[in-house]
Amino acid sequence: MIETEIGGNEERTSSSKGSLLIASDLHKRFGRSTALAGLSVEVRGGELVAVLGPSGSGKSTLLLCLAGIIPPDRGEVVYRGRTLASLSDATLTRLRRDEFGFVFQFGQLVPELTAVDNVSLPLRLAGLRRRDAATRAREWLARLDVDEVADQRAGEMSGGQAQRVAVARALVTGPRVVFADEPTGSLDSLNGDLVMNLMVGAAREQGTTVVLVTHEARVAAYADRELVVRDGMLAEPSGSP
Amino acid sequence: MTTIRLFGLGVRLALTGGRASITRMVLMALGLAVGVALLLGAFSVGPAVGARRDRDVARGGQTAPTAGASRDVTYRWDASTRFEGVSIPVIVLRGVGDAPVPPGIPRLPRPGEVFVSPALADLLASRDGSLLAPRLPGSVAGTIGEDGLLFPDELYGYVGAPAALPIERLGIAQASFSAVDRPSEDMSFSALLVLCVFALGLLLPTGLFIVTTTRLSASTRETRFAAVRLAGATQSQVRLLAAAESALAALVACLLAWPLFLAGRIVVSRFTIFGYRWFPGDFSPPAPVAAVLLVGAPLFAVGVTMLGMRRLVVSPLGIARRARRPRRASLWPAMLGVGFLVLVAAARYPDTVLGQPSPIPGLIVGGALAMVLAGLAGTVPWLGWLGARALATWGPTPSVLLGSRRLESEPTSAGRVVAGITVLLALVGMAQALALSALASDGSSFVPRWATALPPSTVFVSSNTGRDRTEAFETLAHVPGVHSVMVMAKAPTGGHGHPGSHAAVLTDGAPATLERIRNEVAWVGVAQTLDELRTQYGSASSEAIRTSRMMNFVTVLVLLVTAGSLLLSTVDGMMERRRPMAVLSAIGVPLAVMRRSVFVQIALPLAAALVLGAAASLGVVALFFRAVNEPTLFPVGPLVLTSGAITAMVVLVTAVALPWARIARRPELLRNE
Amino acid sequence: MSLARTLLGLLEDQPRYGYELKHLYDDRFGSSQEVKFGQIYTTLARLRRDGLVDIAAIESGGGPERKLYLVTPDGVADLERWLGEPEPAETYGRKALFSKVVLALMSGRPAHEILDTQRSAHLVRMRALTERKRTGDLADALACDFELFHLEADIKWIELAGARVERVAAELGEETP
Repeated sequence: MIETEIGGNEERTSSSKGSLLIASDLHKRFGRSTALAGLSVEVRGGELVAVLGPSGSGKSTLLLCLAGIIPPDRGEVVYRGRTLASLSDATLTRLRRDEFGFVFQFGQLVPELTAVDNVSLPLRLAGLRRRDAATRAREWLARLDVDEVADQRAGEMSGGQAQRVAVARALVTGPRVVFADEPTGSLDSLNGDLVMNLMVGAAREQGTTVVLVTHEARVAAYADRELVVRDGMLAEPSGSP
Repeated sequence: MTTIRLFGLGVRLALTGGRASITRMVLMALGLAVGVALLLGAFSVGPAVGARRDRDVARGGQTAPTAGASRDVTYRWDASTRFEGVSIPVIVLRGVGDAPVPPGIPRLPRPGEVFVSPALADLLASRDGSLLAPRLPGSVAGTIGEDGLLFPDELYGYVGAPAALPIERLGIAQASFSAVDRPSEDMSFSALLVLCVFALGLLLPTGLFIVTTTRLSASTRETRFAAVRLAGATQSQVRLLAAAESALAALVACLLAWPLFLAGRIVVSRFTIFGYRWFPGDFSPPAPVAAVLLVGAPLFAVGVTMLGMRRLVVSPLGIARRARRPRRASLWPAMLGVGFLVLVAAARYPDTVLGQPSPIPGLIVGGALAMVLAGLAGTVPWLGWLGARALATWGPTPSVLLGSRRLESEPTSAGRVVAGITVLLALVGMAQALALSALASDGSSFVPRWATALPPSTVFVSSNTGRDRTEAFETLAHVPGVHSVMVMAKAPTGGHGHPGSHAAVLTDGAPATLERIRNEVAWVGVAQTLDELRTQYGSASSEAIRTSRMMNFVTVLVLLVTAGSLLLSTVDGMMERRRPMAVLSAIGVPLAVMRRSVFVQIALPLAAALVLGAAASLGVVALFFRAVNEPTLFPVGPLVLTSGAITAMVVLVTAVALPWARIARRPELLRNE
Repeated sequence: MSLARTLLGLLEDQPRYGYELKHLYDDRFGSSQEVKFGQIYTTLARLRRDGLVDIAAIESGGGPERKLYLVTPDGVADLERWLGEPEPAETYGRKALFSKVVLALMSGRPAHEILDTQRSAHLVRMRALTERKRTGDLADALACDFELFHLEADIKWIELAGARVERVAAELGEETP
C-alpha cells in the first residue's frame, strides 16, 4: 500500500477493529432537489456494504460524500479518525489517490489512454517510475483476466473489458476502501458476474472495505450487509454482518 | 420527407440545440463572414491598384509632341517641396490656348491662385501654415476633387504660374491629362511572393478558423443526430441536416460579409501599404466575382461539413467513428522529396537552370518551391503525430502522458495548426530573406563623410538655377535662426542630386528655421537636412524595411488567428470530455496535473511548428538563393521574433484555456440520479 | 410430474440403484428441501407401471432401494419429448409469497416496509447462494443463478406491486374530498 500522511501501514484484515468510515447526519441539496436529508452510517474495516435504493434516493450522493468528492451541506464524514472537511484539497486528492479506489457505471476511463496507461496512472501520480508502474498495472490486468487488451485504447474496448480495467485501476494502489457506483449497470449478466466476482475476490484477499451502490438485489447479495436509502435517509438497516 | 422540410428540420435542430450549438453557429458565421470579406478584399486589390494608377497617369499628363506642336498645351512644372518631414507635390501650371485641365479642378489656376487638396487646405489654415504659404503663392481658389487625388488625405497643390516665371523653359508641355493604357509591368518575383504571402497569411488562418468552428461540439451534435437516426432518418438525410446547419450559418455570414468588407475598406484606406494609399471606393471587386463569392460561401461551408461527416457512421446507437489514425500517405513526403531534389539540382547547376528561356526557370524554381511547401503541409502533421506518440510512450510524467495521448488520438486539429504555421514560416522566411537581400544590395547612403561631419542641424541647400546664386545665399544669411552660410563646390549627394551651386547652412536646428530657409529658396532650390538626404536616396531599403514589417504583421496576424483556433479546439475538447475528467478528479488526479496536460496539448504542436517551420524556412531560403545564384541571407532576426511570438502565444492560449480545466472537473456529473 | 421426468433423466446415461437416485436428486435438485424416499419409490413404481423404466437386477435382501433401475426406449422417447417442451408459466412454491404480499398490501401496510422486510429475508438466502456460486463449480453456479434470478424477480415484483398499489391509493385519495 502506498502511504499517505494520514497513517502508517496498519494491519488490514477483515477483523480490523473500529469503524473505518463514519458519516453523521449528512445533508445535501442540489438546487431545489434534496439528495441527502440527515443520513448517518458506519462502515467497519474489511466489510462489504451494499447501498440499496430506488433511483433518485441519494445513494450516489452518499457515496460521493463518503469519498470526499462532494462536501455535504451539513454533517460530517470521518475517515480513520479524521474529518474529511478539515483536510486540505491537496490532502484529500492524495487520499483518494492512495487509499480509495473507484468504480463507476460507465465513462470512467480516459478514452485515448491505453488500459495500461489508465491503470498505471494512480501509481505514476504517487511517484512510481513509469516502468514499475506499468509492470504492476499489467499484473492486475492479468488478474482481472483482461491482459489481452492491455495495449488497446480504452475507447476501443467492449464494455465488459473496460469495466474490468476500471476495477484493476481501482485496486492497483491497494486501497483501503473501494467505492463502486452501479459497477455492473451497463453490463450483461455474465460480464456483470465476472466483474463482481473479481472485485469481491480481490477485496477479500486484501481485506479491502467495499461500499457498493446498486439498485439490484443480485448485486447487493455480494455484500455482507445492505443499507437501504430512501428519500435521502436511511431505512431500517437489516441483515447481519 | 422532402428536402425542403428536412432543411427546415435541420435549421430548427440547430437553433434549439442549446448554448453550445448557438455558439458554434455564431462562430462559424463570423469566421465565414471574415473569410468572405477577405476574399472580396483580395479580389479588389487589382482594381484598386489599377484605379490609382489611372489617376496617377492622368494627372501626370501626356507630353505634347515637339514637332508641329499644337498651340493648345498646358505647361506643367514640378516645384515640389518638403514641409515638416513630409513631401508635398506643388505643380505650377500655365495654359496656352484651349489648354487641357488636370483632373480634379474646374479650370487652370490663374496667376495668384492656387487649387489645393482638402488636406493641404487644412494644413495651410493651421498654425504652422504660414511657414508653408510662401511656397504656394496665391489665394486658395478651390479644392482638388477626388479624381485628382490618389488617396483621401493626400497633400497636393496646383499653383497658377506668375507672369514672370519662364515656365516654358522649366516645365513640360502637356497635350492632355487622361488615363492611357500603359503596358502592365511584370511584378518582380519578390513583389509577387510578398503579395502571395500576404494573401495566404490572411486566408489560411481564416480557413483554419472556419474548419475548426465546424468541428466544435462535435460529439454532442453527433449524439443528437444519432437520436434522429433512431427516429428513422437515413445516413444521407442526417448529412443533409448537418448541411442545413452549416448553410444557415453561411447565409448569416453572407449578410455580414458585405458590411464587413465595406468597413474593412475604410480601415485599410487609412493605412500606408507597400508605400501606397487608396480611397475606400477604389476597392471594388468585379461584380461577377462578388456574386460568386457570396454564393460560394454557403456551398463551401456545406462542403466542409459533408466532408467532415464522411468518416462518420451515424448509427441509431450512437457514433462510430472509423479509425482516425492519420494515413501514412506517401504522397506528401514524395512531393516534399521531389521538390527538394529539384531545388538542390537547381542549386548545383544554376547556369543550366537560369540559362533556359524566360518562363522556364521561374516555372522550375517556383514549381519546386510550391511542391516543397505542399509536401511540408502534408508531411508535418504526420511527423507531429509520431512525436506525440513517442512522447506518450516514453514521456516522464503523467501530465505529459495525458496531453500527448490526447494529441495522438485527435491529430487533425493540432496537425492543421502545425502545418499552417510551418508553411507560413517557410514563406515568410523567404520573403524576409528577399527583403534582407534588397536591403543589402541597396548601396548604403550616398552621403559622403564630410557631410556627416557637420552638425546635424545643418541644412544643405542646392540651387537649381544658374543665376542669382550668391544673392540667394546672401538672403539666407538673414533668415532668423541661421548662424552662417558656407558656399560649397560639391553637392553632398556625391554624383546624384541637383546641379548648380550648393551651400551648407549652419542653423539653430529649429524646424521652423528649416521651413523658412525653404521658403527663401522656394522654386529655385532645394533645402534638406542630412537625414532627409539619407532617406531620399535609400528608397529601395525603406521599401524593403516596409516589406519586412509587413511580413512581421502577417506573421503576428496568422499566429493570432491560429491561437484562436487552437484555443477553441482545446476548450471544446475539455468540455466534451467532462465525464472522464470528473472521474480523474475523483480518483485523485490533482488539478495541477490536468493543467499541465493542457499546457502540453498546446505547447507541443506549437513547439513542433516552430522547430519544423524554422528548419523549413532556413532550408528553403538556402536552396532558393543557391538556385537563383545569389548569396544567401538568413532571416535570423525575424525568426527570433517569431519564436518569441509563438512562445507568447503558447503562454496566452494556455492561460485562457486553464479555467476550463477546473470547470470540466466538476463532480456533479458523477451522480447517477 | 417433474420428479418423474427428472428421475428418467438421471437414468438416461446409466442404470442406477434406488438409493443412488435419491442421493443424486437431493444433491443436484434438492436445494431447499430433500425429497422423501417414499415419493421417489412411488414415482419409480408409477414409471415402471407406464413402461418407462424397468428393473435390471435386485440385490439380495433388498427393498426398493436395492433395486437396479434402467430406462426403457419408451422412457427415453418420453424424456426427449419433455425436454423439448417449455415449462408452464406458473411456478411451484410461489403461491405462498404471492398471497402474503397481496394480502399485506391490500390491508394498507406501507409498501416499502413489506418490500424491505421481504427483501432482507431474501438477501440472506441470496448472500449464501452468491458465496456458494463464487466458490463452487459450474453445476453450483447454474443452480445458484437459477434461484438467485427468481428471488430477485420476487423482489422486483414486490417493488412494482407496491408502486401500483400506492399509485391507485393516491388517485383514490385525490378523488375523495
